[in-house]
Amino acid sequence: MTTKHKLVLVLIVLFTVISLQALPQQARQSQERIRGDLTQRIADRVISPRADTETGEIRLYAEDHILVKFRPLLTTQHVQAMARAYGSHASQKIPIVDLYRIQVPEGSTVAEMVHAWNQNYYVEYAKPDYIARVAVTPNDLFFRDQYALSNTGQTVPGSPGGTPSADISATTAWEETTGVSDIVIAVIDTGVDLTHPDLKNKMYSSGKDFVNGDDDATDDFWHGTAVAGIAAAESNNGIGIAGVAWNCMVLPVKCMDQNGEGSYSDVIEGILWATDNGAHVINLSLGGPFDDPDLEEAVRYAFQNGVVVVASSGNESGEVLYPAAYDNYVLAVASTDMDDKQAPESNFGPEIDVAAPGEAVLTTVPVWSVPSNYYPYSWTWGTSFAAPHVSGMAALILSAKPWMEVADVMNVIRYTADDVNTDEYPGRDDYLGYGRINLDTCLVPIPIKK
Amino acid sequence: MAKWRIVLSIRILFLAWTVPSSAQNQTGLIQDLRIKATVGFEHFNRAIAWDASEETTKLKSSVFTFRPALEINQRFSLAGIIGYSLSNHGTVFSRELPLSLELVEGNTGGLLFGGELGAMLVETGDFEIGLRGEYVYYNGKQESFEIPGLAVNGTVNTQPKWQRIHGGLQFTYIRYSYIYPYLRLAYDYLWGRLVVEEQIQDLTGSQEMTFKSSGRFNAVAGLDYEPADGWTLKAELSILPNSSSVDWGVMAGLSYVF
Repeated sequence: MTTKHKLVLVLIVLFTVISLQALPQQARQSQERIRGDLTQRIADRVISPRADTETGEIRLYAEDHILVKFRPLLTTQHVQAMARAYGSHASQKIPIVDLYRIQVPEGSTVAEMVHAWNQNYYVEYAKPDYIARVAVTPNDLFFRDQYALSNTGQTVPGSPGGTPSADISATTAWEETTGVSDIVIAVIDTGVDLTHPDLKNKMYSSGKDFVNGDDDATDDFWHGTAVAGIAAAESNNGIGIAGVAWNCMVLPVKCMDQNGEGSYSDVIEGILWATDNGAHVINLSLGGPFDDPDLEEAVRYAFQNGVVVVASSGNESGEVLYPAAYDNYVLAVASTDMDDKQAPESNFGPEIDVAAPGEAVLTTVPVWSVPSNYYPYSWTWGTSFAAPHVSGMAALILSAKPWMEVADVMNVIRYTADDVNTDEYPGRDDYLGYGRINLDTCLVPIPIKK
Repeated sequence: MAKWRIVLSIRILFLAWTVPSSAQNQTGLIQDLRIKATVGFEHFNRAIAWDASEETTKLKSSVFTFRPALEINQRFSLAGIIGYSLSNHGTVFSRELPLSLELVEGNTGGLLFGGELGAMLVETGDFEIGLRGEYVYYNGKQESFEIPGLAVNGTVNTQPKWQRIHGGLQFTYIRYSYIYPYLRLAYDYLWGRLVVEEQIQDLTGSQEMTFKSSGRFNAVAGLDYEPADGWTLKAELSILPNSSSVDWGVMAGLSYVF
């Protein structure tokens, strides 16, 4: 190496040392200048929808730190010195990507800090540390009100706010499957509004009307539309609500009239027809107090032909209604609320298999049933609206594992439930059965650690 | 092609048998018979592709072996292998059960059985060219785990098994006394299965998940050192490239010839 080269090298080293010594002072000046005339150029672009956990809005980024990438050759000591000048401190560098987490000082905001650091000569870029989520959150307008699917403690009618996580853990389960269109849920009820914006694309067919004797199972009450929406409303479509089984189809079978009543014989016919016409799951949010061998025979027929039958237990705070009480062939569903407590009206007995949210459940109602300037959605109460959560769950299981036998699907639903009343009734009990259903445990692989 | 392979294999074996024996005074096929015992330790990892999930994980295995061997005319060897292995197949997902499971990685002990064949084919100048082949079968022990988070008691039983075949040509540098470096180019294939059985009350299911190694050919660099009469220290380093990474293994052993 020549003397000239050595001289140049010494000068470069000296310049580097002097400039790095000056870093904290430059940073401090930069901070002072920025505090004086903070422009929101970057902040406006990336951080405008500020999170507010109290109102249940989704948090978009970490609020206690930002991420900063510095120009090469700066050591951690230099970064710490600069951070101190901002009244902050830096964490260890994240390797490979060479990012530092810089604490947001008290009294400052993420937006201010991002802007301030982006003015710094030694910074390549500064940005918020965005929040990632493992769960699938649909973009449906009213999803935030669906505590049954994802309970954040949000306000629902009749309650100042439920218990966070007192839900069926749908969002994490949707990571595993949102259902397939090959799986069909028959809704044996008052029919379904075939024109509803959240249901019209989900109809397997126009169904069957056993009340009026035709092939148009249009809902002239409201109940069936509400049940269908919970089980399988079109989801992630930016409107309305999310269903449990996003992609599964609905087969409307009208066996109940405009007053919400129907004969056992129509129900029997409906079950047999649905079994023979493509149903994989039958939802029966209906029931009567009388045992009928023919009704039992109908659900047995469905069971033996590979159809999962789900029925509501009833809302009389009494014995479980039929067909829910046909224990060998039907999953009997009780109702819970936003705090995982048993709904007071929910029927009980040894036939109860599981429970699901049924109190203040937001769901679809027929378009014709609301004024034209209203959204066709409403809050509903009762075991009728607990059962379709279980039907949707059965459809998701069959979507992921179409080879499963009906009895196994029923057992999976039972055994993966959360025993939410274990303090009062440990283990299976007559009130909530095995517990409130849990889609996460049921569908997401359970870690087995050695 | 298969026919040519068979013919070639027969010719090589014939050569291996006839060349050394003809070089000795035709007084009998077996003139020198020795018993050799080797204890060894090997650790290797292999990228394994799972058929069911199309995932790739790393099988990491630590193997302790004892190999009693017969050496014939100092040119052929035939050894049995018994040993114990701690194998870790990595984290895999079993989704063909009533309840899907994430089997988190961890070691599973198991017995190892197998055999080894060696033959010196040609000695030319400072080099010796030989054949070496090995087959091992790992039978992992069945383990039972509780399935957490259920409303009822449930268990899962798992049992891993794998087999490995390794064989190729070995080039040994024999110029130095007591130290014999060598290089082996070999076909190396590992395949196996993980049996998972789930029982939750009357709900049962099982899944057999098969896997196979991603790479097929490896290179082994080794050294035999004879510190004293009858004793040999052996060390090997192997690499096995696959489509996305390079697997490796190390082996060390101590032999005594009786």
